[in-house]
Amino acid sequence: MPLSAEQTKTITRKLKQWLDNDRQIVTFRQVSREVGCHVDIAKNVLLEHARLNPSLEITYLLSGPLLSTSSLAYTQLPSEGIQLDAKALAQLEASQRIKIVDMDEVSDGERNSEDGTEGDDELVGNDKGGEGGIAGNGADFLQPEADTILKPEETPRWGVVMTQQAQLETKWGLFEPAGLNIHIYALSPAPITDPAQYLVPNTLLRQYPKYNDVKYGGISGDLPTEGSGSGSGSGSKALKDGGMNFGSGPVVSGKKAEVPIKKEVDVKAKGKAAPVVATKVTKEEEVKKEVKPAVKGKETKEEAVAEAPVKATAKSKAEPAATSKASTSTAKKSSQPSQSRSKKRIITSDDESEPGSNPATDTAEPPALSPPTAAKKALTSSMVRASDDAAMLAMMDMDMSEEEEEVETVEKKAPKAKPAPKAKAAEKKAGDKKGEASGSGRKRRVVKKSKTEIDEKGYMVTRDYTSEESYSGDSDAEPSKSRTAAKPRKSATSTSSASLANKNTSSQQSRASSVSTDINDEKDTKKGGSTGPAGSSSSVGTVKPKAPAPPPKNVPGKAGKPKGQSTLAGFFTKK
Amino acid sequence: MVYLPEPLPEPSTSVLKRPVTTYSSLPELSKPFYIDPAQRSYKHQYANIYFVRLVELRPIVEQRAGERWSHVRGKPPLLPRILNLQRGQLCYIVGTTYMDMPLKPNVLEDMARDHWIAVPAARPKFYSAQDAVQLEDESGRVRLVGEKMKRERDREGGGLVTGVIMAVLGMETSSGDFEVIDLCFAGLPEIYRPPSDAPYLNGKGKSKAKEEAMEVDVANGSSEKTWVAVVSGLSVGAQEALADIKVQMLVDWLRGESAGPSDLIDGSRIARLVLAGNSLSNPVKGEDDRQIKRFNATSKPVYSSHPTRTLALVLSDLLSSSLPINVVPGPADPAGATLPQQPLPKVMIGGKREGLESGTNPSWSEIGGRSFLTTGGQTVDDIFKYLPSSSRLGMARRTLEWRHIAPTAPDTLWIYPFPDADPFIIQHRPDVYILGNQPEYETALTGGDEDPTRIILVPSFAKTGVVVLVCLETLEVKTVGFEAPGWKGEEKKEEADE
Repeated sequence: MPLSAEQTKTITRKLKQWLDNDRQIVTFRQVSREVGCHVDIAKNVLLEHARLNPSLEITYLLSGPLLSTSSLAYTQLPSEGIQLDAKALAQLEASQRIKIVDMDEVSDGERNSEDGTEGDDELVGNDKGGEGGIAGNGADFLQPEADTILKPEETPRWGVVMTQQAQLETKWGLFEPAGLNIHIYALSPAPITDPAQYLVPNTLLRQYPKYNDVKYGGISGDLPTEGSGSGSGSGSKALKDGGMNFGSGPVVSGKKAEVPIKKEVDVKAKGKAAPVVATKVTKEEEVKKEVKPAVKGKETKEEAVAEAPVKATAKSKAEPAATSKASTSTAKKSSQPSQSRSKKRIITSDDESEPGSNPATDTAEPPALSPPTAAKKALTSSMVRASDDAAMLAMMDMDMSEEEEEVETVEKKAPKAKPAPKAKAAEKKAGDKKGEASGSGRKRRVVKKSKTEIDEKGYMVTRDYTSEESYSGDSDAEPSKSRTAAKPRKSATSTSSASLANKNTSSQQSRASSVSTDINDEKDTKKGGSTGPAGSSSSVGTVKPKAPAPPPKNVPGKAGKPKGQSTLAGFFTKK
Repeated sequence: MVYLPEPLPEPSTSVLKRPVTTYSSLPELSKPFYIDPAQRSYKHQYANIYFVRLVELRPIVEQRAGERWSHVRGKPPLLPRILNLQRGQLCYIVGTTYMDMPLKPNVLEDMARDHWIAVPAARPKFYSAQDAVQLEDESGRVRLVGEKMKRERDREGGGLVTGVIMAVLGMETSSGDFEVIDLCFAGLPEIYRPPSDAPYLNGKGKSKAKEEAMEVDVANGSSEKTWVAVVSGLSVGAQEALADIKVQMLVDWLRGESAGPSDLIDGSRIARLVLAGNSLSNPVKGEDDRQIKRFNATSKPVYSSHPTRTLALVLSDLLSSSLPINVVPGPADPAGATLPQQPLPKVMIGGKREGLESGTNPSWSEIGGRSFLTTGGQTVDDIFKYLPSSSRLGMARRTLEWRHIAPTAPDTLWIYPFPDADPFIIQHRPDVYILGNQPEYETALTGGDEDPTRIILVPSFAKTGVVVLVCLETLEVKTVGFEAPGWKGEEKKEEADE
């Protein structure tokens, strides 16, 4: 069906905005998803638009049978490494004799003396027995094996070539003129120099709900296994990352996904820098009411309340996350469990604001969003699931590195055993060490340990478990040291949140600093007197090299700066 | 002057449906390639593999050699052991070839060395004129010499590699070498037919396959051909925008969205996609540590730096167009360094969706009545280093003739140390033999007119943009090439290159 007047108007406005204001590439797929029409109609829409605006750059898609002489351009991949020159020494094939050099020859005097005779020996090859053998007489009665030489077949070639206006003529020549199809692939405000630009519209495309629907054109069918309908349904369930929905996915999930998407479009439409949160929220609410009235709106209100602090912390969390690559995984691990329950969501969003690491944002986020907005968005109810999912993935990533290092840690701990797990346990929860104060001499405490073992499936599994163990008072000194060594790492996260919060509103600051207060209090209970900033930092300085846990190796560079600040923040709160 | 193409006609409302074909992972053939993770052990010696290989292939080679040399004057006897060789007696022996190649990297030599210089660039080939061929069995080893060996080496599509079981006819010379008159390998095996189809075993397999295909077509209301698309080296995550665009174009094309009506009709006849290795790409040293600077600042976060997620999206796009996919890992995929590479976890590449099959490398499958043997290409890549010729097609055919698809393992090709099996011995020939990640696209039929095997060398898609389509009914092949516009300013250089 052709487009209605309403649709035409909408898409014309949209095209104007995309091309003139946003100055981005618009592909036919984007248009078809925007209007909800067949791709062929979308191509005609682009064509019409190009006709009216001849200044626009057109990207064409040519397809048809290729001439047998034409060749398509190759792409050199960076992972392939350097291709050796055909004349390089390594390419030297043994049509000529190669002298095999014994590397030890030069030094070894005795061998050197034998050089002459050995050299002859090395020249034995298949060629030697060639003359005067019995090969000649017997060979003729043996037929050579049939069909031994394979000639590569000439096969029909079809080509699909994307090209811009400037090269259209050249590329045209690659095809047999009879079967050539030319279509508009995309419009852009200016010639495209970086091919990566073409990727942007395609990634944006995934935001549209059911963007693979049959109505956009394309091929459908039944998967060879039975129950393909339920199959695709379960598929979209399995991959719950917000914007991604599949052809015949259930309607409910499609609607759910619609909400964030509309919002994104709107936010984007308003322009990249919409600083006032309130207006944004109301806009969101409007859009949501259009789509799904009451329920969602309520949620956004709640979020709006939560938003301000969340924004700050989420943003600040992003920093430790970014540095975490360099710092060891134990540091990461210790910082994570130390978060309170209520902050759980923020933890997930901290991974998110790490650019590129989070697939959910990749699929569901428009490019214009800055990290805080991204984090905020992750909080809308439909996105929470997605972000959980993404966090899972991020965790998977972490697990990889953690597992490796943890094995190492366990090994290292083995001789010293007690102090390191103790430090870990202390980090994890202050409550873990309740048994500590029971008396002098032998004490009992709860220790969190991790064990790596091979399960029945043959996979290496690392499990955390708690166990009680007794320890003598002598070893008390060391654990407490390592505890302090571990602490700055944690406080480092709180500092960065504090320092960043300073840039934001005062309420955020108070919140952030309260976090650091907690930590400082904790510190106080553990380590009798040293409350001042100087005290803690100095203790850190002396203890760190001795600390048995592996992190310190990497910590100094990264955690060095925040450390001073952390105590500063603590200093402020003390006031 | 801006060129404007003709507007497209109104799209028809009818939705094109893909043909549905039968599919089986051929468990009886695939099973040896799966390594139970609970049983996995790397304690075993590789010697077992050679032993098993000799024991399994020797009767076949002996029988074939007996037939081949039955008319030779003097009725040369078969010596059961190489050690029994008598000087001057015409006879034939069976054993495993060993190539004594001075250029072949040797770890023992490296260890024993006292003096070191910088390691030179790895050679594309070990081959040199000083190579000596030896034949060994449990008892001993003898050097093979003679005009025949020389001709075999220089022949187009000939040559020998370590680990092949073969029979040689000739006699021992005064110097203790074995003067070879003729060689005999195990020969091309029978084409594979599912065991349940006993009546079709005697040469009627093809008609059976045709019938099946016809049924499929009738069900679809058309009598067109059904195609299987083969792609190797998608190299998702290669950080090369052009490669990614090509992948996107491929997805569009396979989904039937891009290009014209003829593309649509072609695309709608594709029943299955086979990804033959390197769906993901190797990380680039030093490059991947940095954050991707793919887009300008405003549009940065859209691009995923998780190659597996990107691949999952690609696969889900295709699956939602009801295109079933077989994924076979290749050298760049995170599926281990040793053959047989184990299947990529489905969770990693798109979840447990219907239609997504993750197989081993190499792996067998049956699509629409045709048997497919798909490998990531490591086997031929390794054989390539041994042989003077550059005809990979010939090498691929050779592996069928040797009845062993990876003879150079475990010598120069890493494989799992199987304690009591050699899964790479093939008892059957596939209808379609796919080798992924080859430098160029090439194809040929081999094995006679009655039941030919279609050998296809599939090049890296990211590099060449070539997709190979195989017809299930006729085994004919065609290709689709994709090209994306490069960087502005690079074009001049490219043209100069051409």
